Amino acid sequence: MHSNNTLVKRIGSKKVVQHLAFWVLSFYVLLRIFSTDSEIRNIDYIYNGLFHLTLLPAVYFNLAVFIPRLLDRGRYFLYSLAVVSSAFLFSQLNILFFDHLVDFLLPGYYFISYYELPDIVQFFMVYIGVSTLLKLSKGWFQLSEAKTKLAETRQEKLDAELEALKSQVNPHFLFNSLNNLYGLSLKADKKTPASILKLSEVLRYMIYEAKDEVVPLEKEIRFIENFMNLQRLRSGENARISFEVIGEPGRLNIAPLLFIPFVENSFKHGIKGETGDSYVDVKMEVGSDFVDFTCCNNLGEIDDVEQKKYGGIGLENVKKRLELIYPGRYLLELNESEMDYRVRLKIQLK
Amino acid sequence: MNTKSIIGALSVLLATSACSVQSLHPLYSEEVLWYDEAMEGDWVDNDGRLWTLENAALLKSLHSGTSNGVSSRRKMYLASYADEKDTLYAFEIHLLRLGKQRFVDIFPWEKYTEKMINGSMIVNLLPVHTFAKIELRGDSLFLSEIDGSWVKDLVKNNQIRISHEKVDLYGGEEIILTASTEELQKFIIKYQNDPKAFLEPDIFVRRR
Repeated sequence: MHSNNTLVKRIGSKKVVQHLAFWVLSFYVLLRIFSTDSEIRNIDYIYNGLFHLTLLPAVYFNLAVFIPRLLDRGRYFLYSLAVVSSAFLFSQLNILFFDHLVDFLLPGYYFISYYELPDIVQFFMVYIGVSTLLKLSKGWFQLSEAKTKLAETRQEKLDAELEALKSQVNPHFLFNSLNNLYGLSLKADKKTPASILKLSEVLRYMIYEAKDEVVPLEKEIRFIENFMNLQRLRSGENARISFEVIGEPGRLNIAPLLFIPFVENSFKHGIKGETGDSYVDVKMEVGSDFVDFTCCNNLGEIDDVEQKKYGGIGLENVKKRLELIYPGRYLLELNESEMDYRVRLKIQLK
Repeated sequence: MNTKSIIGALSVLLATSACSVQSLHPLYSEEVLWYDEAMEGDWVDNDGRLWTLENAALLKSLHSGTSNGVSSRRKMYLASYADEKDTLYAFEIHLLRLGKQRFVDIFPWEKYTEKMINGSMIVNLLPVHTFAKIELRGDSLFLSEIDGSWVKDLVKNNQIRISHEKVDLYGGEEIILTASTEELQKFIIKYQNDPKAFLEPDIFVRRR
């Protein structure tokens, strides 16, 4: 089926074949109209061919001159005038041809101009009109095809960009987590094995489930919870870490990994190992068609070894993805005070 | 009409139509009709038959109107011939001008045709028109009919595009043109000077 479609497309794209098909159809239709009796005689074929000889210049003059020079440039009145004039002129030539010229072209044959001028003008008007419509419809098809291709190209570009953005999340998170584990292992902390298991769970979600365009909101929430538990392992006793979900996710879906960079950053900025009165509060309010995420953390010194180099990538990625996936349907507020850093991201999911 | 006279009438018809083109539609229309009083009178043909050509409008016995729906009888002749047994053969003659030539459209007189059809023998007589180029020179009328066999050959060899029907007539296949009057006129105008299109003229001499 596919190869057939390709063949049809190839044939359709051949200009000569298209024109040939048009004239063959025209020959058949006019033969039926021109046949003098119920029986189609050889002389009818000859007359039909001769009549087409007079139609050809009218049609191709229209296609080659009037359409590109007048119609395509928006000179509709001039174009209409040109079409009517040329139909009249070529009809006169048709009459002249059958009254005189045909005797020189085919001596021994007897033809007259069988139709009156108004009838012939109608023939020519129809042919010029049909050729114009075919030309325009061909242009529309080409435009439509170009638009489709453009849309496909844009979508492919979008998909590639999204994929690239998502893929940037993974190494970013992985490096931070490995840094955390590195810190724990240096201290020979007992939480290290559990942290590795949590990391494994989180990575499973990121690698296998977050590949889809959208994931159930419920899974995303569970992922954030796991992530925070993972971070909790390395946090000091004094750190206050809370995660609250209000409402039921139900069957809502969401683009994956949109919230995690904020959560991740809140731990990097707010929870500084075992020192200070640090906190991270994450709250997700789920409505019937939206999710309202807030994340608040205290401000502390940046102590991550990778932060200076890669810290901004996560946030920028989220902004780009939001703009691509939820344009005009999200609210992102980033507020920083002397004491804390607050993020609010509300997304209209439907 | 007895059998002998019917055969005689038929022979006249055959003589006037078998070699010429026969058409369902007339050649004349109102705008090309012409009338020349000089053509009225008695004329003797090649075979010595005496024909009378007179204005049809003057004949009280003629039906009103004509076979082509042309209202004026003033522009119609009646050509009649009576044999030795006083059997009348009559034809409606319309003179017309096409291009630079004069032509006549010959059609069996309506009453005459009826009489023939009511006869016991001839029930399939076709009321068809025949055409001829006509020229009046002094006391002579030159009547050149369109060559029926020439048209027949053209049709047979697919060299002419004209509406027609093939019918079995006179013991063979004949061509009867079914083209419209307008189309017939166009053909005549275009090919009126083609020498192959017309038979040698029959000459009618005026009888003083």
